[in-house]
Amino acid sequence: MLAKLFIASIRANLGRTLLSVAGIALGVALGLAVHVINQSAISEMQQATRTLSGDADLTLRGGRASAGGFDEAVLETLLTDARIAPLIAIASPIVDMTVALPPPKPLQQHMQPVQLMQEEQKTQNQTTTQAAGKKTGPATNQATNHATNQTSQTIRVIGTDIFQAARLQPGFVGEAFKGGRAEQQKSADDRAMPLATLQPDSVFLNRAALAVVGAQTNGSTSLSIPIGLENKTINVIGKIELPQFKEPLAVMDIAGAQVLFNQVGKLSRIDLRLRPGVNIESFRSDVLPLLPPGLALTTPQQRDEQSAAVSRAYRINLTVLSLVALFTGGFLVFSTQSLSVVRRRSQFALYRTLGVTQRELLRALLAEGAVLGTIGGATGAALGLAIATLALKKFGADLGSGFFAGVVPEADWHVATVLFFVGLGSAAGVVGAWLPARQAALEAPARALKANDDAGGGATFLPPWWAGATLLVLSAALLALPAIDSIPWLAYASIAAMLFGVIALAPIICAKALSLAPQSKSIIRQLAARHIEKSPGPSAAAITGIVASFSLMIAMLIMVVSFRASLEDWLTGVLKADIYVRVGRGNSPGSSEANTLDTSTGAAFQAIRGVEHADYLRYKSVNLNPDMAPVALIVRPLRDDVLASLTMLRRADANVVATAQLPIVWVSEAMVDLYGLDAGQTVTVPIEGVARKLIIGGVWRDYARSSGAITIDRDAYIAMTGDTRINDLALTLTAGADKLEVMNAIRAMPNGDRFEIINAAEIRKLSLSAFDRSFAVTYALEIAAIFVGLAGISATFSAQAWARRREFGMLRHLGMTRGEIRRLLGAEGTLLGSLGAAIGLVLGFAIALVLIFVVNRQSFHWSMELHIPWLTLAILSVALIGLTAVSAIISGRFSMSRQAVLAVKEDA
Amino acid sequence: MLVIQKLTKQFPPAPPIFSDLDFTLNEGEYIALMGESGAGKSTLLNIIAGLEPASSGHLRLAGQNLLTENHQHDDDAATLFRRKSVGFIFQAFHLLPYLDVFENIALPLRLNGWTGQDITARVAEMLDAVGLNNKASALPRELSGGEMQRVAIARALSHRPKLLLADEPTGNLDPDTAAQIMALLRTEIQRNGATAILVTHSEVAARSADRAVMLGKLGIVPRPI
Repeated sequence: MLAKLFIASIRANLGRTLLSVAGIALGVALGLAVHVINQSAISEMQQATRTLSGDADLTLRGGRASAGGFDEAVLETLLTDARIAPLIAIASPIVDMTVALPPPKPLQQHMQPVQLMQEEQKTQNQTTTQAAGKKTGPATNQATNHATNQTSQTIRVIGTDIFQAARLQPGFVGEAFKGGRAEQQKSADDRAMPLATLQPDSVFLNRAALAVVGAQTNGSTSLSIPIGLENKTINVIGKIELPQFKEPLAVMDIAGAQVLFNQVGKLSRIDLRLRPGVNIESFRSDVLPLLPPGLALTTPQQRDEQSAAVSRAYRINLTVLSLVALFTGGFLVFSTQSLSVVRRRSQFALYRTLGVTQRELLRALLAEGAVLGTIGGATGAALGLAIATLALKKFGADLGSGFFAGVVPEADWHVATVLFFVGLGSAAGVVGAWLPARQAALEAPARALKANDDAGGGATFLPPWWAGATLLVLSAALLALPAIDSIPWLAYASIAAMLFGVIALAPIICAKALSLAPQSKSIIRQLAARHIEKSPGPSAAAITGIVASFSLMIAMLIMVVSFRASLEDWLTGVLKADIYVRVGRGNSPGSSEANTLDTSTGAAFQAIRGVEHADYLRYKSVNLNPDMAPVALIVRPLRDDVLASLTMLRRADANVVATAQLPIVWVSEAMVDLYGLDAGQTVTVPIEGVARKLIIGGVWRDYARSSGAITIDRDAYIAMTGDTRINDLALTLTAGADKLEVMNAIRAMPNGDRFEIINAAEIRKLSLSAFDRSFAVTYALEIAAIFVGLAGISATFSAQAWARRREFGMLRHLGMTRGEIRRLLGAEGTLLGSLGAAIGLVLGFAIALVLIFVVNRQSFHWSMELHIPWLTLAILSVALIGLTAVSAIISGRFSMSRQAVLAVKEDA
Repeated sequence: MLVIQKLTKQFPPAPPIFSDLDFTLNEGEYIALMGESGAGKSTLLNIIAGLEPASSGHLRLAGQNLLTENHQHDDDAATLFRRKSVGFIFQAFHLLPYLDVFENIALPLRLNGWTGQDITARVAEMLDAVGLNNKASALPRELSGGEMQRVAIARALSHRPKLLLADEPTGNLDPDTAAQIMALLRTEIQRNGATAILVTHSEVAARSADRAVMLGKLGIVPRPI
């Protein structure tokens, strides 16, 4: 019987049933695709990290590898200290750099605008969510094209002590090319002997690098790598087999790498294998205090977690957003099942009369929902996997955040994950079918069998007011709780509680609003208002769809507009100079230590005609907590005008700062959230291996580094470290100076082609453009949700037209023309749309506040100002009301049919 | 009041439900239209009300020709005529569940452009007539079947229609209530000066009419009651 019920329902509502399945399939597909793409990127990055660490138990790091590393004396300590050395089986020192290969011809004209300010970010995949720098489209302005960098292929260069690496990372041992120089120089008995690696100017390349470089396997290929203002040449003497590492990779002797990258005496990391029986956690806790400050010992698992944690908030936010479509898909099932239940009301009553129990009927209808959901889920899962595979092949793993720019993994998915998403589809089907099923099961059969049930037959179940009120109280309470493991789960739960609370209260709010509204003189508008006011149940389904989809759209809109406006303000502040210059054209930000200038070269910029002054910028990174991601240290002149240009959120009391007699630093908001720091407090920062006590002068807003940033005045930094090197220059031009002339003058300098020159205005423009593109995914998801919501509204109105056919028939008997019935439907649609839009606006505004002030803050540790796009909200509201009215008229056209006229005779 | 000539209704390819009907109803007359199930009583009522086109024939109501040359209705004209000049009573009452008794009765008045005090006075008069003064603000779900049909009678006559069409108005009521309703209906028809057609299978109900006719294979013929 259940199967017959189901098949009959499908036949009767084929179109709408397919729409429901499609709604769920869309939600599941989006959710799974986003999850698989992100997971594939994470897996790829983790696999790469693990491949490079080999069988190490622990890795010793200092700050960011590319931003200074640490003194190689630490290796000596590990190998000679009597308390440490006996515990270590292998210690493999590594220099790890990412540098650009010479640009291919023709040049690819890409820019990485915001990266100028977020040095180090890409290396650690810690770029900001949407504002972060990433490869953007070709510059449109000719001058800009000339002025900006042409990004070329980068290559990871690993400098290693091959004798240690051979034991820990055997994949680093290369195989010399036959007949090549290296092979001729080494003993003939073992071409794979690591000795070849010891040649300081020679590298072994993996397959990806060989493909990029086009190396000849006869050993004749030499590679020119731009380092700082020089082009250094290295010889490709062989290949390495590391199939797990898919990006271009070069392995060379560590001493050669230190010289090549101007890193003599510095290490990026030391990979450690402990002796059997040594407890890793005990080693960490016992050994770290014996080493200089600022170092971190991490297990491979911790590195995986850290690597994933950096982008986790972004990934989860995107997945949650994609599941909004699934939520609306569930609503579509609700609408379709409501319609189906209304149409089959008398059938169910007959079944009940013949002895089918309430529970059996409920189960049958829930099974219908589950089957629809499962079909939708399975279809969506297949679609999602296809989308993910295609997107990864076509566009790589980056969905707009910049977190995974350049990562092109294979789709990495597990059956369990797919089953989970199919299960979500099934759950959406069951949840969507629940209320209609309950309504059908609980209805008295005798009543449903009677034709003259004008007293509200088919009334929809309405949750009691206290349920909605309780959910709203719960929502407020959840907001007071902190993030769990840096993910705003409770804030999401608060949004869900708020959404369902308001949806539960929506019919009551509508009825109250209409009872208080002045009565219209038009009988049509009167009837429309009275129907919604006095029959809240049937109206609830339509209102639910409108409120749910519209509020989420409004919330996202307000959040995005607020974020964009705040980002624009922030960009204006941080990009105060007119032109920015980076040393090492074409190099990735992951090679800042290899690409520096001295002050004498920097002074040459000061002498360029049209340059008022040149600020020297230096980027380092520091470890404040070994278990957390490194923090960016930004060294720059901090004059009053520079401080004024930062978005300063609060400053320390001047007396407190003066009394402390310590160097002043300015920390980003993330430092407040992650380290509990605040203006006026002191902080100990390990800089160049020495723990420095500093006073925090204030807290500034930073949209570039969600792991935290510390800004220090250049003079104070030089006084502490003696490091006068320069990574970037910020050039402020004299009034009336021609930017193009200044750029040309820079290019005319010795090695001028080694500078990356960027116009600040263009950075702003391209950064905002990157922001907009990043949110394109968001908009697409929202539009999908809105259309699913509108489809649900249409289904609801169709259900209403069917349920109320005798009412419309009676009105036709009383003398209402078809046009008047149409206007009545339109008036009801307009009223419902208006009420839904009003409630959706208020709810959307409330959700936006949670997104802006709680979710974003907890996820990314930055704040933003609230900006409300009034005009856009007004246009959207009018559009929604219009669409609802049109949908009501089109979906309710049955009401004007002859069948409706004859329905007054129906013996239901 | 109502003149029907050569009226035929057919839903092709089925044979005609009725054909070449001739019938005249005088002003103020109240007749019972009887006949077997499927004889076309309700269809005839719908054609008279302008809700259903005829296949052929002529129909004049209150001096107005309601069928066009090709026997079709001008829907809007028929609707507006129905709004002003016709009242309906249904077996299933068909009160709007979201309007209270007062508003249900006021509905035809509002549709006909009545306003304010005129509506209040007329609805009060009708409530008094059907004995539901104390139920003005009740919703239909708070009424019994008999009360709902009283409201339906009040609604059907509130705008003083020239023609009242009642289709099995006692079909859903117990005999005692049915008798009360028929008595009330007759009184109100007379009080409002309406012409009325009562479609019924009930001999008892038919007895409330001035005369009865039978719709069958021979057309509309007198029937003793």
